[in-house]
Amino acid sequence: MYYTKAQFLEVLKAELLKRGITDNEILEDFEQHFEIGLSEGLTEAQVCEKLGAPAEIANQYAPEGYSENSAAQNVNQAENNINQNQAQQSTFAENNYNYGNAPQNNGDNADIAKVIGVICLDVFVLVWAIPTLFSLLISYWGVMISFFVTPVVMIIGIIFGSFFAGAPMIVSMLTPAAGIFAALILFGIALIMSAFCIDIWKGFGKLMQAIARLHYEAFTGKKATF
Amino acid sequence: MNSQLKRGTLELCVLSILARRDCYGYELVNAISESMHITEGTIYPLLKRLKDDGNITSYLVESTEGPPRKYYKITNNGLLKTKELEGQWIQFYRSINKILGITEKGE
Repeated sequence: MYYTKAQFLEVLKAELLKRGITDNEILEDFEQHFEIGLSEGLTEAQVCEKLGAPAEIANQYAPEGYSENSAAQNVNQAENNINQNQAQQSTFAENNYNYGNAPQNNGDNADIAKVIGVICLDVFVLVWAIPTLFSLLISYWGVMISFFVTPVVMIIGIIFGSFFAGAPMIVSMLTPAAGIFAALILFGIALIMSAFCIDIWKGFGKLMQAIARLHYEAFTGKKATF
Repeated sequence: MNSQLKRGTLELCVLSILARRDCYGYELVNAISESMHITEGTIYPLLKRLKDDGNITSYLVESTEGPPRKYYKITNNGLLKTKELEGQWIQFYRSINKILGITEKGE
């Protein structure tokens, strides 16, 4: 444990020297830290305690591979490698500062490729696929609604045939029995269609959401939260 | 909190604070200490590494009390890096939450 600023800086300097580091700026940073801490009413011993062990700090400035107890660190590194493989958290896993090296950054290229891919998808596929799917969806609903409405109109036409000017075209071609039969068939088809209409609507919504998510992730690089 | 866990995320914390405003080292330590306990000495090696990698720069500002203070400023590179780490963090905690059986709202 170190109790004075002078002691702490002296030991830190020695520990850095052991690791071949002679950067005065490091010591200046710590000196400044002490100045501010003391001006805020802390004692030198309190600042020392909060800073932690000089040897540990020096380790973190050391270039890759250096350590006083390398066995323990190798274990850490092995753990990190496992994390890396398992969770694709490469950057976080490499952030063991003892190893100093910046994480490899091949994310930029992947992002550009993603953006180009998404734009190609938009221009060549989605620009016609979305309107097509949307119009199919609308026509599905349109057909279903008309298959509900038509039998009703037909039945009304059959019953009140003589009063209806609009309906008789079809009605007059069929006998009343055939008319009712046709109306039931249409109604049946409408019922079958209605069983799927909500799912189809939802499915289209989900597809749109997935496309939106794809764009969001490709352009911002963030995981979409919607 | 586990020190290995903290180490991996400290970089993101520092970058994220600097993305909002320029700070000097002591200020950064205080800002982070508000939310979690850290060994304060670890912040300076981290700042040096971020500076060497071009994610942040530093400049001196005269202080009314004591010596000039070294302020850190995030670079464009650093901003990109912040976004990258942020994305990874979100992905990471989601994966862990999933394993732990903690579900988020809206899922």
